[in-house]
Amino acid sequence: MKKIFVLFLLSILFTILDNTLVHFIAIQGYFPSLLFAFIILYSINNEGWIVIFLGIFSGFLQDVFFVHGFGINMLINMLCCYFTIIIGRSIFKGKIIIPVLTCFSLSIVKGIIILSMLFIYKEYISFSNIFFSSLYTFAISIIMFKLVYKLSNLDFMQNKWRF
Amino acid sequence: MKFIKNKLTIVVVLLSVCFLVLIGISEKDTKIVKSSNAFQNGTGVILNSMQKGVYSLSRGIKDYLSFLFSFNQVKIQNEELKAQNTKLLQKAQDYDSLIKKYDSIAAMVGFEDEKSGYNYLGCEITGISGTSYLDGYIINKGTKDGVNKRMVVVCGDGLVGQITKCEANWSVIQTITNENINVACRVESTQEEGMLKGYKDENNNQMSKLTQLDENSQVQVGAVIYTSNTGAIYPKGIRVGSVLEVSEDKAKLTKTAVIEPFVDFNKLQVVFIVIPKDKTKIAY
Repeated sequence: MKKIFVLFLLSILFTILDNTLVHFIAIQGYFPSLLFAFIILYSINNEGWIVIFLGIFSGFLQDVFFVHGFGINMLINMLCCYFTIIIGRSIFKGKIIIPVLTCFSLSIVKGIIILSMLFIYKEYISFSNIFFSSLYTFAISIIMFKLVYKLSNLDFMQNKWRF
Repeated sequence: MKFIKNKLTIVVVLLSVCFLVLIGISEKDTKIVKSSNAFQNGTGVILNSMQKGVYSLSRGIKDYLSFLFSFNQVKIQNEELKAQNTKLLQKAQDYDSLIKKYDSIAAMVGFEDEKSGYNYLGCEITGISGTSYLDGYIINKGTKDGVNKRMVVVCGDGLVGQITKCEANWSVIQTITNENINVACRVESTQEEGMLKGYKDENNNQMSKLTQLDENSQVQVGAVIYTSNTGAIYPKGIRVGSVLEVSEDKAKLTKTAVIEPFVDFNKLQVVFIVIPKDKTKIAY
């Protein structure tokens, strides 16, 4: 229960930071997504239903203020979390390279899916925007990795067998 | 264990189908959409109340830091503004006397001012929307305050943009620097009309472009651009920006002007929604 509460609070915190503070640390108008970096880094170190629900919940928070197609972010974040679980099963936990590269590549994939879905609504976004925002998210994920890894290894964040 | 893993995959596939249906119907006026909108609005209200404080605090810190780092520039600017202020005070006096004359003449001929046909609703910006792909601003007024989708948003410096998402207690604005927003505009000096579109230059600065200008257009650098009311969405005469550069497209036989908006989108805090008194004259 404590685990769900912590993930819920952190998702809200990162959403608020994404909608406010992150805009002020933009480089050349490009800014990262702390929430996306967090869910990917958390998913790679964990698995199960909680990760899928985290993907859906974070997507919902992003969809609230998204202009078109309510559900786009929920769908993409859920799928990203699902694929991250699969990647996470075949890597050594605690190593930084694969998680941050996964974060970068899934951020680009997310951007491309959003670009194609928005095309249906006749809204256009540039690929350079997607690329540089993903690059920034990648840089942020390097900083966040250790913190999220430590969080995942906290006692109350793990489902341990009780004898 | 394998069964559980497969169960997870099956649930993910089923949920994906559900989300695709939700995306498909999200723009339609159905019962499910209405209830999801109410849920969105509720979440938005809670997030907005928390975001408001963080946004103001971040804005304050950024402004303070930029003031510290550009102190010399601020000093020079202050001197320039003092000189400008003296000139403007003189102009304001002339303006006051002209207004008095205008009022008396308007009363005589029964002329109705175009801008008197609108109410202006002040709103505060509570956050940024769009997850970095579609830049927009979240404001603290919605349908409960009489705001509708596609209403025009202005601030003291000029045109800001348009409402693109509207919930009961909050809305999302997309600015004129977004390439998905089109505004019919006119060049003040030559009275030529063109279509304004959002544009970002090579340094990703937020600009606009005035397209579809005639090949023989006389538009020059520095010319002021304002809205023209063609299309009946944007009221006539709202200042938009000034021409920074003019280029010629020989294939299309048109000219395009790069416009620097008067509004500094990095310093937006308070905006006004233009609400028409007579909604029959408006195309939304």
